[in-house]
Amino acid sequence: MSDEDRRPPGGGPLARGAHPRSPFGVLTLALNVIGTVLIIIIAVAVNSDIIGRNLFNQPIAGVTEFVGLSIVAVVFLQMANTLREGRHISNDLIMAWVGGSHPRVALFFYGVFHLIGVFLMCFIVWYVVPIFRENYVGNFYKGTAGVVQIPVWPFMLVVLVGGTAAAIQYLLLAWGEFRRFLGKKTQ
Amino acid sequence: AQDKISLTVAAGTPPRALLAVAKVGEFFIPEVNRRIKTAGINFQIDWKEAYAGSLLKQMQMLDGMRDGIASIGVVPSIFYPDKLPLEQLSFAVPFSTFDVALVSAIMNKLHKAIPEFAAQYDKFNQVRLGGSGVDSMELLTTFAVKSVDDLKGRKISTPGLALAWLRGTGATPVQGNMMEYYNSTRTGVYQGFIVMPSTFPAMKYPEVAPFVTKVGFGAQYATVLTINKDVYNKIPEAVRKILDEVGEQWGIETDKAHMNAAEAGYASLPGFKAQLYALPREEQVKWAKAMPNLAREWAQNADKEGLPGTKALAMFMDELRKAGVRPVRDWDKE
Amino acid sequence: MSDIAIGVLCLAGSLVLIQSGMQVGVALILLSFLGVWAINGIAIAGKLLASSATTSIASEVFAVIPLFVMMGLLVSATGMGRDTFDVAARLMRRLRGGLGVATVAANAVFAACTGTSIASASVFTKVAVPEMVRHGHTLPFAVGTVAGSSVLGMLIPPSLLMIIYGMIANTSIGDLFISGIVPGVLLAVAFSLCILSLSFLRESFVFADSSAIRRAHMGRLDEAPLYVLALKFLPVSLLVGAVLGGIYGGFFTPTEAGGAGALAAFLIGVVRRELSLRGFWEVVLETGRVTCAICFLLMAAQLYSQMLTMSGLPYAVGQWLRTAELTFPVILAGYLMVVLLMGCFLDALSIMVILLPFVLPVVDGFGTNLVWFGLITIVTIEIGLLTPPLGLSVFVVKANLGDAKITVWQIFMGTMPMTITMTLFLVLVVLFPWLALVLVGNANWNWW
Ligand code: NA
Ligand code: NA
Repeated sequence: MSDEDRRPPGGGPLARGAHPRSPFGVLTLALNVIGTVLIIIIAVAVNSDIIGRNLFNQPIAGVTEFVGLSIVAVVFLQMANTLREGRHISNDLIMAWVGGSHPRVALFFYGVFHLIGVFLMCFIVWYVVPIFRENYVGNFYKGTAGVVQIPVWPFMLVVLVGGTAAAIQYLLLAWGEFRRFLGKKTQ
Repeated sequence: AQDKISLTVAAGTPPRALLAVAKVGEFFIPEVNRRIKTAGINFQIDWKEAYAGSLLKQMQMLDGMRDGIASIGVVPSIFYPDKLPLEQLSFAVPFSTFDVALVSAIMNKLHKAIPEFAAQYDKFNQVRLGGSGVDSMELLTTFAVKSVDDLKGRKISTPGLALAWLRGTGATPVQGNMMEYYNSTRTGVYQGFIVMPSTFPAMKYPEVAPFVTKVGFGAQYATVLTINKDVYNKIPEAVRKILDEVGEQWGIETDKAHMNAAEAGYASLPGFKAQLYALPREEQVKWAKAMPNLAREWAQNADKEGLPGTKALAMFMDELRKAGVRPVRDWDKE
Repeated sequence: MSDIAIGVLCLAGSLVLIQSGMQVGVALILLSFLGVWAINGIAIAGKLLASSATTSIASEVFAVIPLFVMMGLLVSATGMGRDTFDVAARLMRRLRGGLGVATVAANAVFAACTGTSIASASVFTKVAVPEMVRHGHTLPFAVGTVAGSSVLGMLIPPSLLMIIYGMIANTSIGDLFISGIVPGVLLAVAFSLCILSLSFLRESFVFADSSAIRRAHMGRLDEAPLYVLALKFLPVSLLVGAVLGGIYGGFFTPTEAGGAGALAAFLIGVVRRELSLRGFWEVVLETGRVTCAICFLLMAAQLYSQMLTMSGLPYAVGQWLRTAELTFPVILAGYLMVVLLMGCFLDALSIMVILLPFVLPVVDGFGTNLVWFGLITIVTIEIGLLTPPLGLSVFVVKANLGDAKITVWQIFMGTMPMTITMTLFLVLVVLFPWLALVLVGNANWNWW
């Protein structure tokens, strides 16, 4: 299957022939790998708790809290790469119709859509900074005092890093769409 | 001056699931309106209610109230051990009393006597209007419990905070929540759980765990009503005073409702063919002695953070004794 | 402009934006952001955005999504899915549309191990769709069948939606679970009948290949001896057995079942030597992308519902309902219509959280059986999983498919027959509360 066949509507620089090994692409992949490892850790944690509880009468305290925090981290770690692969869910009834007769108009709008993504991601990051700081300074945790305490700030740090990467990825996607809109071929 | 304000009241829990939330709509709002009218103050509050997490989820309550997303909120203080450390006091002092009204009254006294209590809320740009507890938390099991020894090797589920009550008992604590208890006990994931009696009729817990043991963990302080400070400061002083008074009264009403609900819970037991057993005092002492000194641990941790933990604990215990309670274990004097 | 008007505008805005080609998550977050900004200012909009991004999915309930997704991917990566469908095809080979029926039946069995429709949709997109296409069905029909029958995941116990309803309505979750069994099985039968009649009445919708090619495929299956089929069926039976046995044997909770199922599928794959390290890594990478797409959407949907609450729109509707002095049948019909309508725009969780606190006191006043009411609420909300513009089951199928050859819209079209079947089924359960209550021991209750 050629890249062009895989091209999801309105996204996916891979499908547009971007370098899979561009420095930023490697970064998104690295974040993706960390997120992937975290998923494996979630699976191991849940199963260890089940096995520990049933076979050794020794459940693992804090699994509930840990997996709850981890899923947020997983989502933000995977965000940029999921974007890059064009795997976020979209429903292009209108643009498919517009693109049929006015492909340039559609390209312009896809560019605008990605810019909105940049804007929203920046906003999330901007307002998560105080949340991160508060958790770091206040030593806030999830769990039960005296039993298990999981600090929240590392997870918020991950949100900041993943959110920033996603903002950059949206910007690159918007750039690609606008270049095509202006008639220059990417690569 | 402003003579009208719009206040949004939020809760992360539905009114049907938590009496503290139900009492906001049934008591707090109409009572505030009534008192403003009776006092002849020219001020009108336009209330909007948003419960069940439709505006703020349980874990968003404290931060969301600070940011002004809601003006008044029901904050489950038990879920914020990191942000409201002093409010956790009652959980560190199990085997105190079944009288939830007494526990709340003591906590109100602590709030008035020790400024660090209010400072917790100040940090989050809020003023605490009132606090309330839950009726006692009891042990429901699939097997008979006559002594702490019967728990050895058994898996017992509790919400996060009460996990500590199983320390030293030989039971395996499994973290769970109210929604899981019924099915997980029926399938055998665990053999018992710790829950409030007021939930018996609706949740039918005694069907799957027919041995109900009044261990004596006692009533617990759990939920507070707070108002965003900026909003509070915008309100005329006469109305502020009404909010304060009705807020405290909200706690009392909630506690009363909890006591009634607990009674109804115990009354429902024969219908489930469940049996109630109250641990005699010597067994309570045995259980309490099996635990590490939770209260001392808690107080020392608070002290380390620069909070008056030891002082609050001593005052809490003294107030208990003053009210005629004979604590099962003198946590503060060991 | 009044806050309520802003809410209405944002509702209308989603109609356009979700269809525009903008990512659905981005569209919902944008509307929420603009809505909150208009109502409460930009600072609160930003704070709510950040707060929801970091907390709304931060719970065990959402953390098991990747585990259920992984289980589905492992089932398909290890060839278990293919084998299952060979067996189903063999057993149903004399039946026109037999594979569709097999998908529904397999979904009903799987529903007994999972609590969310997301899991069902994830697993069967990987397992059933390629096989149905291989056996000559059209892609829209294949994905439509999967998306449609995924609703069984939350109707047949255990069910996440029932847990949440029980929590809001303060009703026994045990009773709610039991009330789903008869309607769940009945809906599976209804779906099967729908597929069978389609395969006769709308052949071009169901089949891509001519019947001759299909017969050749099936003929190949005929030649395989029975014991080969039995062997092929063994691994997947082991998996389902492990998950079901684990739940009902008290080893783990339905929430944890995803983790245990993923581990079991992994072990089966290793033992059968059908899972290399590289293959496993691919599966987990893909799990991450699918999880990210689904959770991003869930996060956005919750934010969107918070914005709507802030506008006061649901509150106003609730107040009106409380004061309008309507009769029960009118309220019931109106309520179901509103849920169906909301189901077009919102996710299941948000609908319950927004609507139930206002509606429950009203229906409770009429002495309504809240278990039955919960069941019809859940069925109605689940129809929303399949209706455009925002149909979560359809989106999950799309996310798992990772294939640009089919659009979300085509999946909606493919699901349409199931959606219609389900709506008719809803009428049945509304008219005959007996269906929900017979096993709960309350068979005589009725509202008319
Ligand atoms: Na299910
Ligand atoms: Na929908």
